[in-house]
Amino acid sequence: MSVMRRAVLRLRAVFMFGRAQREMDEEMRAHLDLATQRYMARGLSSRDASVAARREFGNLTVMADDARQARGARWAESFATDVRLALRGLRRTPLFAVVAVLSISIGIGATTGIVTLAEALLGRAPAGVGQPERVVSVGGTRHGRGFNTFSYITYTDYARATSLSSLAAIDLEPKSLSLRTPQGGEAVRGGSVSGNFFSVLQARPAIGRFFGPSEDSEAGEEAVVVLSDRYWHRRFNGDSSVVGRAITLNGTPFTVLGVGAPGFQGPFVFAPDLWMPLRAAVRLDKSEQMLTERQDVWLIAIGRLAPGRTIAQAQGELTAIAARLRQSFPDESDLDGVRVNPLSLVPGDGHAVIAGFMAVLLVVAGLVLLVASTNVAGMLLARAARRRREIAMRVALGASRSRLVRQLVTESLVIGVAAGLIGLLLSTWLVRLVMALTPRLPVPILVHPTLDARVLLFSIGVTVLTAVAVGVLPAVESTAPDLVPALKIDAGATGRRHRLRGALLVSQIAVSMLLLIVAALFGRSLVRARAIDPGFASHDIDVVSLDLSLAGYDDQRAVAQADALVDRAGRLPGAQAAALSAVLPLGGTFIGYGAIVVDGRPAPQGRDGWNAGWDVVTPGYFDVMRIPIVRGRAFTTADRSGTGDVAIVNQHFATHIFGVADPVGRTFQNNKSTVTVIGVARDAKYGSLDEAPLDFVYVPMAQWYRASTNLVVRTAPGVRLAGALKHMVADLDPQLPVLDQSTMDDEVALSLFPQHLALWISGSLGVVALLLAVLGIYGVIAYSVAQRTREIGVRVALGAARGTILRMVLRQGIVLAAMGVAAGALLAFGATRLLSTYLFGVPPTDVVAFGGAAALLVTAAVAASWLPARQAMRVDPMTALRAD
Amino acid sequence: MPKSAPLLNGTLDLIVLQMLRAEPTNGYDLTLRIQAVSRDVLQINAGSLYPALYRLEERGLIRAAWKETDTGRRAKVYSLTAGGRKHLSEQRATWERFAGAIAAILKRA
Repeated sequence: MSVMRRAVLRLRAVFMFGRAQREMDEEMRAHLDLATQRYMARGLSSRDASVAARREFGNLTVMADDARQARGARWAESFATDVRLALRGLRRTPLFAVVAVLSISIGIGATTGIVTLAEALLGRAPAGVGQPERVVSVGGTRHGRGFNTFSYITYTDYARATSLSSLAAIDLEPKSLSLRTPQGGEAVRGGSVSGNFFSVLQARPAIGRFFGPSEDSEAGEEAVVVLSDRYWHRRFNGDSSVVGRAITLNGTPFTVLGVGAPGFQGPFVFAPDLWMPLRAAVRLDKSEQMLTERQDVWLIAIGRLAPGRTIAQAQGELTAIAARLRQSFPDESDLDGVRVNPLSLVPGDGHAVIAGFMAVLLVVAGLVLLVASTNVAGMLLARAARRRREIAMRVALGASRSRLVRQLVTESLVIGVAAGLIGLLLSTWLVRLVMALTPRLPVPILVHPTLDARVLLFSIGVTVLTAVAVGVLPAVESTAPDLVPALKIDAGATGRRHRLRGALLVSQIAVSMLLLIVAALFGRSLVRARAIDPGFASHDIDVVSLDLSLAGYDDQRAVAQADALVDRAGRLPGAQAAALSAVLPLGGTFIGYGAIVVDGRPAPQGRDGWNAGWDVVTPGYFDVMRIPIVRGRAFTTADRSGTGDVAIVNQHFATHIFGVADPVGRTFQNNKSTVTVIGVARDAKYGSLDEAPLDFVYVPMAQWYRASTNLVVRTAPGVRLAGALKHMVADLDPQLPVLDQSTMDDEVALSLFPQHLALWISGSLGVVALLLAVLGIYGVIAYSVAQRTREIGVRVALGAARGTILRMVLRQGIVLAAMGVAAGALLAFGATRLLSTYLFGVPPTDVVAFGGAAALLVTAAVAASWLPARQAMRVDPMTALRAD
Repeated sequence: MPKSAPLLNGTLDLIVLQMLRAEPTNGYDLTLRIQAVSRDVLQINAGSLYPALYRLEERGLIRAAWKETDTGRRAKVYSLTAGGRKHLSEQRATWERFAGAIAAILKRA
């Protein structure tokens, strides 16, 4: 008979064993009736006939069992019985059930949640892209590292590669644009892409059509856009008459060609509201040189592999092209190297960084699951120990060991399934929480973490694995063949079992130790980061990001408007000072105005000048940020165009580049002009909190106009001006959109987000692990006190002081904890160095973190042993000796 | 009444198949028939017969259907399937070879 048919019969037996059972009973009855009839025909009375038939038939129950086994229903039936037994057992010990289920569900929830996030960021192909596995992303490298932008010219050179059937250029970060609406300017994010973008991705429009290469060529350049489905719904309520409609972006009319398919957001997590051709984008920016100059590096590319070609072939071909170009243009840094990656929502190096971060989190969550499992295994072991008489009795009565193991493992499976279900709920909650906690990012990033089939499969696998792993050891251990002594006296396998449980507990404490150390390291690095003086006061500052060019001003008008903005903002009720600043400290961006040359101070290593960070500010900036001017003066409204260019440098710039503490009155040159230093500002942190001192130079906006800027307003303590500022901007010019709104504290927090997230996750998991460890220690010690009641009674009877007994029990808990702490410290010593890139000024083997975690665990161990120790102390020798 | 003999391992299946080949039969009648045909040497008890029947049914060698007996009692009647017929003829050949070999050995000694 075929395997299939056998499987079908067996399945039927599983699902219909009720019916099979009835049918079998019916058949047995038929047999008995027929036999009885025959005996009656031979002349027996009906009663005697029935008795004879029964005698002949044999033991009904045993037979039914044998018959059932032959039918293959035995397994299913005994499984159902096991589940019933397990549920009954768990109901009898609700505390154990709740603790076991909850602790495992936390582990499963945490791992599933992290896998959900990782899968959404790293494991998924972008929506709406055809054959995504054939799409590659192309970026430039410097010295073999990074994933950088290159120039349009370089892009056209790369596009000639034959291993790619087509290559499209993308401006990676969507640019901010102002859409004219009746209510004023509205900020939208526009992606600039080459004409073949949609065909490379094999995307389909939901309505209308996409633009193609013909709309992005010199001959046929057109002002057209394609909307994303999300923006179409948000802004136009999904109105399909939008196709063909004219909209005004930055004062220039554009025609809406179509709308992308639902979910389509391009190849990356940066989700634009609309896409426009590269040529239209540079025309809009009045920066047509971006298409012709090799110095303007601003694009990355996505390509589709030609049929039969591999990524390695494309990589080889592009590398060769870059090498060839490098010979003709040795100075162009974007030709240093090129990298071809498989398509990923997170392009370039971000992929590896996020993968590493997720891996760390997953390991941490996995450790909690391990701790919880160990704990539950320990509890099951103790339960099994309490049931050893029952088990021994059943073995003596002929129950097979495999049958008993199966029954005990079923119990852990029931726990596992319940924990898995709760864990799934917890994971969706965790994911939602993480998404809610994510600070507003400077670029609109769209990820969609959902519990899809792959994650679900992972979760089910983890659940089953955990349940079986948790159940098998106690089950096998407690049904070990040396159970006969257990029937006779209270001794038996207890010693060995207790040692096993002790070992489980020690490993559990070790893992808790590791988790607590990780949490402590992140906590301490955050404290360190907080303690770092950023050089400015971030509290009570409202920030509004603007781009003055979006309102279509010329430079003259823009400077006047900038003055008006600062003036009006400073006079808002609650405002104390206002200014404009091109970059925000710790905002993660730098701008530069070329190398700095100082007479008599040659730059090192033959470079043509010194490098510094630049900021373009209005006079009030130093008041708003509370950055003291230590020498000279701050900017005034007198520092205007037409007067000589002036600058304020920071202290590091003064001593490092000028070689003096007070360079006021000295000059430096950049590619634009000769600049006189009028003041020295105190050093601050510009890029990140843990950076080494940087050379930094401030220049006045009136002399160095820059359209992209931030309005920063210092307010009275506790006052938030967000709404008032927005109204004020709209009031000043309805076409000037507010691109972004935040506070300086938000900006600082954003720079510490990875550390916050890691602390939050490892901290909460560490607390869970600590609680589980306390529970585990309490369980083991309480159990051991219960086992040793008689021994303790004897000791007391022989004159042991109560204090001695107390100390004896406490020592047991402390020894276990100390062993776990030592093992955990060793483990952490090896493991935490992997975290060093995420830590701020805290060594991965930080003594305080290690010591603190150890102290916490030992204290917890004492607390957990205290109750059982008190109990042991109160043992009445008479009762204890009489027991049993 | 002659003494009943213990059944050789594995022969019950063969016997059941052989009996069913002659005629579809219910479980009870099958015990009677085996007893009669073997001249009371083989007494099959219900505790062995039914597991054997279920085993054979699961292997697809026999099939079962509820039918009424002569006395009006509904009973499950087993009959041979095509697979069972084939299996029986193979097993019979094997058995005959085996029995012949045993007989030859016993005669010689």
